[in-house]
Amino acid sequence: MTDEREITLTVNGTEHTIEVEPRRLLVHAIREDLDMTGTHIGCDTGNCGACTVLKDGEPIKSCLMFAAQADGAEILTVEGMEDLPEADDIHPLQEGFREEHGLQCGYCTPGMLMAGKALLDEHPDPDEETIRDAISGNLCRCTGYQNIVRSIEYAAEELENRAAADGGAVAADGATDGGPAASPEGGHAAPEFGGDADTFCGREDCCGGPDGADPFDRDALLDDAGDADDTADADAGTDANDRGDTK
Amino acid sequence: MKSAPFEHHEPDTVDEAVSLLESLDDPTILAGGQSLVPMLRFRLANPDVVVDINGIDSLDYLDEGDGHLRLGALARHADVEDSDLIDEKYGSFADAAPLVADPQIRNRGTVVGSVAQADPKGDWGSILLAHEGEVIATGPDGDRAIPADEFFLLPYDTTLGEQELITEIRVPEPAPTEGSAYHKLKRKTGDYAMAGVGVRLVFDDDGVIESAGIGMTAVDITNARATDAEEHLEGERPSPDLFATAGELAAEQSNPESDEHGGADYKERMVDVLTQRALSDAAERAGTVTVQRRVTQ
Amino acid sequence: MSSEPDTPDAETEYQHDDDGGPDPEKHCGHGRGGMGEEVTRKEDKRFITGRGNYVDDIKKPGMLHCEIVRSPHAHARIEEIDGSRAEAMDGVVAVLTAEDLLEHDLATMPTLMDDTQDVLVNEKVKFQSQEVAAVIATDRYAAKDGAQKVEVDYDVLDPVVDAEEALEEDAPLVRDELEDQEDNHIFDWDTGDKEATETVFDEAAVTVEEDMLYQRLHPAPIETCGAVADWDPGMDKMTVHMTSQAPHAHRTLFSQVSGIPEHKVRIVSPDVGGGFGNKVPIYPGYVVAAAASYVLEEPVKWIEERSENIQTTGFARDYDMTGELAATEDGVIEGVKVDVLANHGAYNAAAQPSKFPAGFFNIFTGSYDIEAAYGSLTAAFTNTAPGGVAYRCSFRVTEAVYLIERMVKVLADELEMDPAEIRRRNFIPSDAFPYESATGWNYDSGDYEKALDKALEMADYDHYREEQQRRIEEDADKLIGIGISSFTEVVGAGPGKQCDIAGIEMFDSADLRVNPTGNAVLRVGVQTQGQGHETTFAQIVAEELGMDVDSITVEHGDTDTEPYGLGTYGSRSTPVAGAAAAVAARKVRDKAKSIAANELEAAEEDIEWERESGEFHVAGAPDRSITITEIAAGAYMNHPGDEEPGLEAVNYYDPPEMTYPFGSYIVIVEIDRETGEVDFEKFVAVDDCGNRINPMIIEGQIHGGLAQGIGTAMLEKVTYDDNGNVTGGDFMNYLLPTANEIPNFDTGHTVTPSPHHPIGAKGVGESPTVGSPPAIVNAVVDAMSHAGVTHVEMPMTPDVVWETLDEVGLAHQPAHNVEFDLGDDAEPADD
Repeated sequence: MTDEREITLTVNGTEHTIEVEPRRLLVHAIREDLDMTGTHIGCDTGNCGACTVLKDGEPIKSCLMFAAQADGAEILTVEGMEDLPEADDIHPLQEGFREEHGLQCGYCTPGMLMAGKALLDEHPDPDEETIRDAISGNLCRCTGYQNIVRSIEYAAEELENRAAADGGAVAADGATDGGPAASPEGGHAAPEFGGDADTFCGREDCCGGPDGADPFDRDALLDDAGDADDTADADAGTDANDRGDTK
Repeated sequence: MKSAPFEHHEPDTVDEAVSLLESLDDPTILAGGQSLVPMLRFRLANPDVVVDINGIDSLDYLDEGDGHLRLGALARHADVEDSDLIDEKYGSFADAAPLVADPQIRNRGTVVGSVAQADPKGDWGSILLAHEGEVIATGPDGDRAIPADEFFLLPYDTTLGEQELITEIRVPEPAPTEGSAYHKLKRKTGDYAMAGVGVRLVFDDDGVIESAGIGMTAVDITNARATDAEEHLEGERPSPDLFATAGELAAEQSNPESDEHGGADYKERMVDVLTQRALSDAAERAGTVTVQRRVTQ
Repeated sequence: MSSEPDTPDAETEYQHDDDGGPDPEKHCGHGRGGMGEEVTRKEDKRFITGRGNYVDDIKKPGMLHCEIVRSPHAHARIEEIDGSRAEAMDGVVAVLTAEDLLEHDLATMPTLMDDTQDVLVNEKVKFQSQEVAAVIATDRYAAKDGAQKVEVDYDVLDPVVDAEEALEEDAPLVRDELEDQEDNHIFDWDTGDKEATETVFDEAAVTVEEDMLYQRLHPAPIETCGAVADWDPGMDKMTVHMTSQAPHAHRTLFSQVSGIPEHKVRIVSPDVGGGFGNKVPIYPGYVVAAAASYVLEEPVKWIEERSENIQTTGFARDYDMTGELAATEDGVIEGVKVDVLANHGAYNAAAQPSKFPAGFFNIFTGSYDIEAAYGSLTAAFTNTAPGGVAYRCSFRVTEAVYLIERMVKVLADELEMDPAEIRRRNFIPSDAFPYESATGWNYDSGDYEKALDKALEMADYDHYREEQQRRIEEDADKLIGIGISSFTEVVGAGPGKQCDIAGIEMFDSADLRVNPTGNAVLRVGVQTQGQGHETTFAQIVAEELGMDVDSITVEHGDTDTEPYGLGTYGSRSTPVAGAAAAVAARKVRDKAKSIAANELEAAEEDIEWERESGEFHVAGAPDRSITITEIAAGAYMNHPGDEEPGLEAVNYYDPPEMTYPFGSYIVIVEIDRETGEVDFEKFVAVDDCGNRINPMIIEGQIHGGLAQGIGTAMLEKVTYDDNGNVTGGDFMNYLLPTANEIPNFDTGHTVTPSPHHPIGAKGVGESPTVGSPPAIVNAVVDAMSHAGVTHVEMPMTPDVVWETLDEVGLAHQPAHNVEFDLGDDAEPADD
């Protein structure tokens, strides 16, 4: 009765063949058989969404599905986000969560990122209500959701700006949009603005800086910081504030 | 939470599934699994054998044919939510789909599975009743159509045979002067209904209600019809007073119990409110009335 | 203000405006990521890339899994446990019962209130889902299979779940194993001057009274509790990775319970997926995992299921309160009385300083200057899970704030006064600080009117009052309600002489080491669960040493390497460990001066440190300057002969006082008179936590706490049926709000620094959970107060609100205000 069977899961582009019991949940296969622990478990009733992964592009709760049912499927987990075509160093959604303080304890974050990814794949320019509904299957106990909504808005804008930059012709639209921080809720940051690290603190209501610009550019600061501590700061910068776009 | 062990069968065709149901000892059918998997994980259900129908591609459809809207056993809630056909013609389905659970669950859970589960707090049973739809059960002797009225017996219990598989649910295609709607109250996203009401109104060319169907959620031991209200509506022209009386009659016919979703009295009153709201929407969608709220706020 | 001997005085140079705090409009600091700067979080990268390391992510060679067998009954004697069928199963390694634990003296454990709880039930089950046996197996599924096969014979007894019923004479006795325990009464407690208060009430022109239940809640962090215990027989050392908000305190307790010497116990709290007070106590699962590892000499993992988490680990609140106010006719509050019946569950396991059986509940005079106050409380055992943890609050402050802020609204309605005006009339004036309350608290600083004024303006208060009136007059379908809460918290326990955990004084610690290459590691005794310590504590050091925030790493959570601390809860991290970090940094700065003197060839007394540039220079010669990076090199490569080499400092900080953050919240709701549904129209939160370290993180903390406040007010409750079955014990039934139930928040702040804190900061993470529920309830009541409603119990689900509407004749039917336009086509034909 506990016969194991062989299944093939393509996770983040890599094909894995594993033996599982029919009752083994997909989330356990991902976490324990494939050792990808970014996908979490937060409940036993399918309410919390911490286990959300994309199966063939659709967000599903991997604790409400048996691994055997995903035989042959393409799975995306948080570990695969950095390798997606739209990611530079990290994915714009990941960047958005950091810039907009869209996470605190981090436990729900991978599931939120997956829900956000599925949303933006389908609706590149979602309004707030659409975003809130898209993450309504994911519980967060820390953030009150407001900054998660901002984080996803940030990513949508970032992706749109990149598409505009790639396409060239729509650049004017992108410019009038004013970036994520132009939203009434305000953003803390929009890295593409750059800015003067010595003048602005990064808050929209402070220092007379441009609305929402993120002039507190860690890397620029480090570069400015002088020669004495080059080595040390390079390490710290990589660890804490790894911004591929400016390095 | 971890399920007990079970034997997992994955038929590719309906025939194969039916013969498995015939040959295996007390099998459990797994479709979307969004209710079943938690029950397995809590070991509230401990089947030895699971027949997983997700591989039967021929059951994955949502279309019109034979004068019906037809949903195959693998049509997911999200398929209803995303369907242009539903948006255009089936107001009650369009209302209900986004109110089911949450986005991820709607991607996996099936409409037919929800009907088969026969949870009185499920939404689709009420809509099936309001539309006087049918459940198509496929067994060793072929297909049979079970009218929605004859399908639900008790909580989680239906007239489906042990060796039968529900392959489809269907409701009649709407007449040009028909409208339908579904209203539901819940405490939060992901919660089951405190109460829900689905209605379908068919008008004649003079704007008189020719036929009315009302199905109620979470206010009886099964999804249930509000027949007294239906009768009261038939042959009448829509008016706030008519709908108010219909709401009252539906509430009287409901039979809710007090539980974590609210007191019996509240639920009964909400049947009244939701019936009136759904009737207004349905009448508006049928093109027969425009609802004016004198003071909305 | 006084401070402990080795604590330098509060830094006046940091408090750089006339109010004694930084101008909130100019909080941007010096550009190095110091105080006041919105630095993005250093910890985020690992979380957004799936590289966090939570307890369940830990995998060790040979690791076994533990599943706990739990009682289906709330009250039952165990006749027999037969684990033989389970033991015979594939993959099952062992079945443990109380008998096995007794052999190792591990059958019981102390609670934080000095009660004794069974690790595995020895004789009698006292609440549903209590731990009865444990199955250890090679994987999770096998452990669960085994647990299902453990046969337990129960002799089922009548349970009592309600505290009032528990105190009746013929109630079932929950704790019959305790000598001298003849009923379910645990303790009585009182505070204030009873006689003086009675006199005030007797003579008062106006008195009001209201009953209110602060329902049983669960903190419900998204990560449940869990542990990986690993006994190393070669080293005689027990290492436990566990979900702990207080690793050092847990090490001491573990050592006491197990008898393993404390230096042979290592507790590691890795990334913690939210705590909120849930991960302060010790739970049987941790002890079972450790016992199993000790017996089997293999690593053992125990991970709680969600339903186990809600049904058995520390609940919060469950205070049934009656409040009374005495006032003059023009609304001056003269006295407050409160009486509480507290349901503590089957054990006295509240998590609070041991000298405070009712926590800091006696802060119930709130933000108001009230002459006389008296409070009394009775605690009872019931057949429900033990708890009484401080769910995102300082111990029992949430209940106290709810009581006073609700009562002020009740009084305002009685006197037909504006609830903003009545608050203004009673606030402790801003020039009265430090202020001693009628129940003995020593408030450090406050400016309550300023915060209220700001909130009123942000909320467009007058407009909504007019709109509310218009809707009442027009009998509109949706009512407007406006709720205010002007709360004061008391956070940051110690002082150690007052506050302790299991006898250990509630100080905290920081150990700062600057490396030769100029970067630094700060180790702290508190434990982040999402609060952002790795960033904010680095900002404190950056500020105090003129370093860049990115060159400081903050470490926490490993008792082998971190200095002893009491952990993170009760908003104590910034008030206590934040102070320790600042003091340690200043000690380093003092030493740095002597090195600077050596490097710059000047006298030490001539060396000045300049906050703006972050550099040391010779007095009167600003160009003769040196950075901390250069000084660090000097400390290791060219140290002054009269100094020890190296550049580091440790500080154990015992706070002289607690801190008193405050704020004003204004909630505007719209109530559907047909269904009782409540929508948030506007939600304004103005907080004052003194000097602000990282405004972005503070705002995030406020958002999160407000969402939890909404959960409390609108959705959450742990419920039991009469048989003691938990009926709200999983996420289907214990309702956490989703993004669809939470509105956007408008946040604002004022800055009133704490005069005794080294950087003028106060705790903040818990203000919103504490302050928002009364604002929300006040708003819902306010929508109906014109019809005589004085209170609505939480959670205010639509049915609860509708029943109130219906009772006072405010409920509407859809037909109420609707007309149908049948249009030309639908008109009956004239002929």
